[in-house]
Amino acid sequence: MYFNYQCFNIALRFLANVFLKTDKLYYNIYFAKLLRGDSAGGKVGARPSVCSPSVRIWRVLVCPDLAHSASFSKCTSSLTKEKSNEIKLLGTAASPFVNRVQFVLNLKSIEYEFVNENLACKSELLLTSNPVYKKVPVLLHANNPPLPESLIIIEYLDEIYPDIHPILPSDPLALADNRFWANYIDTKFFPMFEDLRRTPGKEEKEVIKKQMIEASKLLEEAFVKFSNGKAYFSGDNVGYLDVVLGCYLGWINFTEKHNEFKIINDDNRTPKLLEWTNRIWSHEAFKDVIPGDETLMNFYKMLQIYKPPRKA
Amino acid sequence: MAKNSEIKLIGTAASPFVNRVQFVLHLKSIEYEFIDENLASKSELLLKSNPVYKKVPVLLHANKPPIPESLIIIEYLDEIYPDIHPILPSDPLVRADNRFWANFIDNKFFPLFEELRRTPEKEGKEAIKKQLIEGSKLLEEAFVKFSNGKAYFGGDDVGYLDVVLGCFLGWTKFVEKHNEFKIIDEVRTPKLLEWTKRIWSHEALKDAIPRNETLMDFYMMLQINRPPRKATSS
Repeated sequence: MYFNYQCFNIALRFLANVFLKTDKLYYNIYFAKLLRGDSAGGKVGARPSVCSPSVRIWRVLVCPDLAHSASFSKCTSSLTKEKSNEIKLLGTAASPFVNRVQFVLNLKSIEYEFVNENLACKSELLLTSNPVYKKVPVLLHANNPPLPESLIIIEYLDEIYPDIHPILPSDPLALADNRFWANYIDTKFFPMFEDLRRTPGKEEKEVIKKQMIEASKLLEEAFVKFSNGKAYFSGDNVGYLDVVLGCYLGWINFTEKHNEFKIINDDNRTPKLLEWTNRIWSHEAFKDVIPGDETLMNFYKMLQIYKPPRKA
Repeated sequence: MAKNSEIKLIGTAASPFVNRVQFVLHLKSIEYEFIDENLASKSELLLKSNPVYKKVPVLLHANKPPIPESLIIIEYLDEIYPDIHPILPSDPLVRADNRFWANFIDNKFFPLFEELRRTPEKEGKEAIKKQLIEGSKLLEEAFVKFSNGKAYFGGDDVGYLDVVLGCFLGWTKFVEKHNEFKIIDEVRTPKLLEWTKRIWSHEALKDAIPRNETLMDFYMMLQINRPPRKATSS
């Protein structure tokens, strides 16, 4: 199928350039859409051969400006509405770590360009911006060195834009407490989701589900303590832990649905957290960023291929 | 070393995470009481102070809630005593870069030490040694970048990454000796090697880095309480 595209494409491109002097960008975008499916980050998992040598060769012909990039993300992102200039965010819609940076950028009304990344076939831009971990998100701020790691990016944004919707509290003790729970959420709570996916046996899965339920109780207690009767972890307004935990709500919903159990959405065990999730789902700065089921399902399928469940 | 003061540190001499907090307390000339913890039999105080992780270090500051997690404690100390020997730089980008490498050291580099101890077979151990060597090369590059020709990661004086990496020097020596290889050496990581000598002799740091005997006792305890994994069939 790709060979047909290749021949067709080369012929058409030649004709376009010679006779019509057609905008190369338009043609690149057309082909990028064919390759990637109907939307950026849509069917990325469906074509694992996208980086094979023959494909790379024809991609040089199709998109010579992307010859050194393994992703068409630049093509598609140039189609999106022109946003800032100064700040770019390398990421993918399904990543909660990327989403939380987006929350903060939205809360601080910072315009940015979203550079969509195909994690099954990482771009040169990503590999050179984050050579140590090769992961998203990465923040590119003007000509500064790239910044990876979502929590580090958030503290950076809060330091360079301290007056617009501060994310972290100013009191050192409250800061320490917030950072502690962010650490817990990222190093203890969320890794259980991946563990659940990769664990093969039913009994073992039940053990992990129990751990997730225990963790949700801790998070309920933390919410009650931090919110002190108000709407969010940070009080009247969204703050650090709302952003750090809120980014997982899409995956929480998804995991609950596909594993037939409740992590948060249970009236008796985590009532306050449940109310909080409803506020986050409808919050202006969050609601368009939290990925829906289809995006997550595509990503899930990619994970099942590239990081399959462990053998029983 | 027990002194009576506002600040108490629950810890154990062999833990590099505890040591790095001690470095910062010394650098900032903060008096504190060291509460020695037996990790094989954790005290009520520790279990109550850090119920989520049950780990050291934990900082007890006056009547405030306990603070666990060494990097969080260091940032806290730097925020409440900002004028005495600042640990983190003030520029947001440099801070972010410092935090990034602290994250690498704690999440990628040091876990390899424990991995090496728990891996039973020789081949497995060799693979981890290779990763440690690769990690050391990254750290050499980082040192060259941060130090910019000066003595420490923090420049002329000890700073965040000196403290975050320096606390592992005791274990680095121990692991090198008992596994017969070099993690930091004069060919591959010359600048880092020179830096380690400065750390070993630094006034504020040298007494907190545990010596071989302390580490051996701790190592024996780990071998009992968290023994190496069973070898898979060869």
